[in-house]
Amino acid sequence: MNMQDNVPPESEQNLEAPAELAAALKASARRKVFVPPTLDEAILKAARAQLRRGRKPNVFRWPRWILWPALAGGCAAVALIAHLLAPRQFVREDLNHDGKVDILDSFALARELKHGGSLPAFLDVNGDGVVDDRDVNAIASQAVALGKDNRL
Amino acid sequence: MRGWLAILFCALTISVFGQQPAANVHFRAIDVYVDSGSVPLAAYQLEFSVANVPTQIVGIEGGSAKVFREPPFYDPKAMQGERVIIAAFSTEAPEQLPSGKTRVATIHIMTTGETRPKFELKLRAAADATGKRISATAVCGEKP
Repeated sequence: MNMQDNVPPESEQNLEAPAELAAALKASARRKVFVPPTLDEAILKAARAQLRRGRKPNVFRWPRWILWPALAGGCAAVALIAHLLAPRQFVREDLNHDGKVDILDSFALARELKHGGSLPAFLDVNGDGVVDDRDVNAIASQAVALGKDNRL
Repeated sequence: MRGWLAILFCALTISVFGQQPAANVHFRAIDVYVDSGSVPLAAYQLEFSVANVPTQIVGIEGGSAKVFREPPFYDPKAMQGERVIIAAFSTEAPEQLPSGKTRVATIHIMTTGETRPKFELKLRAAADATGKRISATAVCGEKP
């Protein structure tokens, strides 16, 4: 190592502040600065708040872009719940209210007819003015009809 | 005279061979069974289809149990097609209803080709005498 590297340049070797400046600096160190207690307290309060913020645990924060998809999902969920809770509409032939017209609906009407008693007019499926075996057959025919809806 | 004989021979030949059915057409009878176990079977609905060979349904008849002896309900449009939904019910008392494996129908089909047809059968509904859905299975097989 070259020893000359640590030696400051000649212009900096004999630096000395002017006497007036040195005296002023010494005087300022002795002078007391008055800080009002309210200001002191305010500074302390701000410092404490800053420190508290710094100590907060690093929790996961949702990104902002997720807001809209979450909102849409919420709306869909509400719509689904409303749909599920709404009173269901059944077609006239769906006598057992299971959501489909099959032989069990026809069977249900046949049993009702066999047991006798008055049957509601809406069971007049074929519209001939009476509820009878022809309505049973009409429901059965609908149950076995080949259409795109009843493919298994 | 020879010309007339030749024409007559041709006409006879055409008429005889024209009436011969195609050699690869087969008529088959498929028995359909529903097994409701120990529960008396009062109603059923199932779908039968053949997908792997050209098929035409040509007839549907009832089953062996007394209450299902009549042909089941089916869509007349299924005739000449390869798929049919059949269904039947009986309002008889449970004592009159069959339980266990019961032949409920026989479906007659006409297939073309030598490939053995594969039958698809799906039971859509089965019920007891009160109309309550019951667990059951459906199988089918070609009559020997």
